[in-house]
Amino acid sequence: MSDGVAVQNLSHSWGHFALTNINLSVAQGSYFVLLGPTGSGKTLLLEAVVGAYRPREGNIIVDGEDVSRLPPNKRKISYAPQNYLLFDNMTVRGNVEFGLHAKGIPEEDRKNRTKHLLDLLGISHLVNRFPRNLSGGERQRVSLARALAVEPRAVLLDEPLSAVDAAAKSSILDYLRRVHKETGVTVIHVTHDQIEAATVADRIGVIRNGKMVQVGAPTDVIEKPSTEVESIFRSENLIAGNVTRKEANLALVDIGGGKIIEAVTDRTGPVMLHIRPEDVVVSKHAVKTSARNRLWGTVAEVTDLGPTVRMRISGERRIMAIITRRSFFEMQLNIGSEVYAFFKATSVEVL
Amino acid sequence: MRISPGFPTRFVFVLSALSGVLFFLLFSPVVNLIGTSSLAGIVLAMNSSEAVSAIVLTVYASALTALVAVLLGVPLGYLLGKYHFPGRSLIDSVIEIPLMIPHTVAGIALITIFGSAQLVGAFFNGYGIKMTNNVLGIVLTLVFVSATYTVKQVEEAIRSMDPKLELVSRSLGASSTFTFVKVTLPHIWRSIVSGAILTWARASSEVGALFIMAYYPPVASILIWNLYAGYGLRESISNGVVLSPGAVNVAALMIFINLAIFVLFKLIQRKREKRNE
Repeated sequence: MSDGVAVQNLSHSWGHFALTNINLSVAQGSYFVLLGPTGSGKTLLLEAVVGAYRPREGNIIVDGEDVSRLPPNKRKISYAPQNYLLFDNMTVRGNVEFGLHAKGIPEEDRKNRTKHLLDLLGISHLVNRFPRNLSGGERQRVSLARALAVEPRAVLLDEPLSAVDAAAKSSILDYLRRVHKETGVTVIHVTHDQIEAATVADRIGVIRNGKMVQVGAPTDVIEKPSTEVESIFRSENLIAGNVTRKEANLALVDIGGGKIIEAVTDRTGPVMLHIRPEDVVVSKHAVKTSARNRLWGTVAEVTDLGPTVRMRISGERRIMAIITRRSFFEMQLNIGSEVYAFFKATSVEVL
Repeated sequence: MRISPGFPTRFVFVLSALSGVLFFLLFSPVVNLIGTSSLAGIVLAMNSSEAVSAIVLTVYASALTALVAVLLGVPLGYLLGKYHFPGRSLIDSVIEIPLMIPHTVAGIALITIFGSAQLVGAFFNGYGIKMTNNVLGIVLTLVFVSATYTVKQVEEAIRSMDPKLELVSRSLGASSTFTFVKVTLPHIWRSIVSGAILTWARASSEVGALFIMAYYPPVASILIWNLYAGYGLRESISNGVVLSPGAVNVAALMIFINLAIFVLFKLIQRKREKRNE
């Protein structure tokens, strides 16, 4: 597949920070997630792609065209910033139609495109509202509709879930996936959240201190992180697997090495599993519990969090567990202690 | 008066007392001036062609000044607020100079460049355009002493606006001009109006620099000074001939007209804000 967006040898410095020799290729029509901790340079990279500044070195290629020297309005790349930045003086319709107005699209076409997008995103009922009367999730949808209305070659989403509450996050990720599938537009989505990345990405690029440290499929980046990536994202449990069988309402997920994880899901085929460290129970013995999943390992790292203790357990899989300080001392655990990590099928979130 | 629960009332009392002193200083001369004038005196001022032309000229020249300040000050305020470039701090300081120097000094400075024998003045004089002692001279002077207010208001408004708002617009295919008109202007228009009102108000009160650059035709402030210096505060009538409509009466009339214009501006501004809500 040809590149939708390619960044070649991009470098730029601001005195206190620099993007260094960034190379990136995002396949046309794919969903790429740029993952990195706060201050890693992901937003600056996105701004280079949209044309907020001209990098000191390097090129940006969109659909085979070098756009490095073009102003933002000639690149056909829509930018949806972190806090959405809707135009407050315009209604939802005004916002969505803005780019079409700027391009002189006839009214009939404008109306049709707007209606289609508002329907697709489920916000037709908000058409005459002003941004100040919208919730975070609604603003997010309007921002996306505005970005898509101009039929861009690529859409850049900067932390699209940063201003929505936890309850709205999974529904937004669902529609991001649905809208991407329907429109087929190339998407670059910036986030610091590895769960978010694993949920929507076709490919993930990890950026740290202004350098790309790993690029690959979500399973590769999350299951086989490079040393640098592992040091950034090791507080969560993400396991790639394949739903091989269904038993009643339980799915049996093969995670490799002959190990099966039970989870509650309707999904089939390749999946990414997420288990919160707080939901993992640790024991020194293979006791019988109501938790259906069990992984064996040894304690590889211990971090004191005050009333709780976070442990990295290495063995059948790398598992992070958070247990109370009291349990930790009662079990007399140490680095190298052999333990079992248990978690319920209902604690396994299938992304 | 509404006092927040738990707020130290003695502290509020001290604040109120100090505020009261300033309020008295600001308010009492204006009220007293209006009280000192009389309705008959104001009517006399209104019937004086000399006073009416001076007031009309003041309103006209101040409005023209505000317009020039908007036309030239918005671009400068935008550049200073949006971009970081070498010399920006210097330009920022230079535009504040007119606010810091005595107004007679401003007049002298202006005459050294726009006087008919000086650098710019001589050049335009060659084409028959005089830059002193006419409306052009008045407006030049008023722009010098008051346009800074518009520039500063716009600069602050641009600084407080998220620069990514314009980037979003540009990424949607909008040109710089389209973005400025449709996105930037709606965000800064209140500041432009505030800046224009401040410029207009400051311009209509100028006297020092005008003494030197454009003493004639006299604006209201110069006429009031002339009346005061020649005839004192009150009207002067000799054998039925009005020698002076009275400095205090022309001043009171000027206050009423300025207040009326100010209130009108505020009403228009409020109406527009309500329409946008």
